Amino acid sequence: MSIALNFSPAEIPNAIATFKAVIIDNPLPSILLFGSYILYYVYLFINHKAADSEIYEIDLLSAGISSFMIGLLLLGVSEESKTLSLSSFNFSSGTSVYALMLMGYALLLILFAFVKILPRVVVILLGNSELDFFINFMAIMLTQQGVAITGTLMVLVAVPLIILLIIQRVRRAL
Amino acid sequence: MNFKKLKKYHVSVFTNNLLITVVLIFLFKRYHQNDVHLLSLITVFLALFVAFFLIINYMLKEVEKNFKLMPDIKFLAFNIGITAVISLMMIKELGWYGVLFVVIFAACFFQLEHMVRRVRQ
Repeated sequence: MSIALNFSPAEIPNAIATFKAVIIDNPLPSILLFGSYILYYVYLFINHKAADSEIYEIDLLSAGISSFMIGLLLLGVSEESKTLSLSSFNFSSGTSVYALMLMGYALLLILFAFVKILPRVVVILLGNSELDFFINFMAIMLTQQGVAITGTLMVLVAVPLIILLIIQRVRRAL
Repeated sequence: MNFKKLKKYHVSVFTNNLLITVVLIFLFKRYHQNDVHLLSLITVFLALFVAFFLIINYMLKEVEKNFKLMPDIKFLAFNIGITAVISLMMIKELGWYGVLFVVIFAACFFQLEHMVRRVRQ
């Protein structure tokens, strides 16, 4: 599994083809994945002024714990001995690097959830569901054999999520 | 179960349960493809979950004195049931152990999400 962070507009068709291939290979999980988010956003758009559409430190804790667990499970994906022993983990693979970074990030989130020193805007940026979805989606892509994670692929996932986040924040502010 | 009162909480926990079920299915599908022995995973993960539950419980007790640790039993059964049905539909790709672990881990994540959302209500 390789991860390259280069972005190129010429690679967009390739990235779309990768998404299509993953969706076609996994129709049921893909339908559920997008279905759950459509349901969630429909709810958020209807209840955009609801008190629980705000983001608090407790969301950092929730996102931190789920990211840590996903990172830990992802680490085992590139393990080679089939017994999950520490010595046989391949820490140089792209999946392992992503998993370790995810676990580090998750631990930071848990720490910040307790110490509560982050400014409000950072709490919103780190605790929002769009970032959580991005992380989970990348983890899903990393479980696929032969899929190369590129900057283009990441941008293609991130841009719609950033737009959704901005729309929600603007709607809430109005 | 009072749906009018708990509507927002239900949507958040339900969609999160679906999302985590899907992510776990993808992960355990790969484990099954790699023929990895899954039994050693469960001990480590359950121990981690217990540790996290204790941490959250401590944190939440400060916020809410009458904090309810367990969710409504019907809501819990509904969500676990959905996870079980979805993972059973994927039994070829997951194997029996995979199905079992997806259900156990999804239940743990569900409990986690329940605890967080209760405080936000």
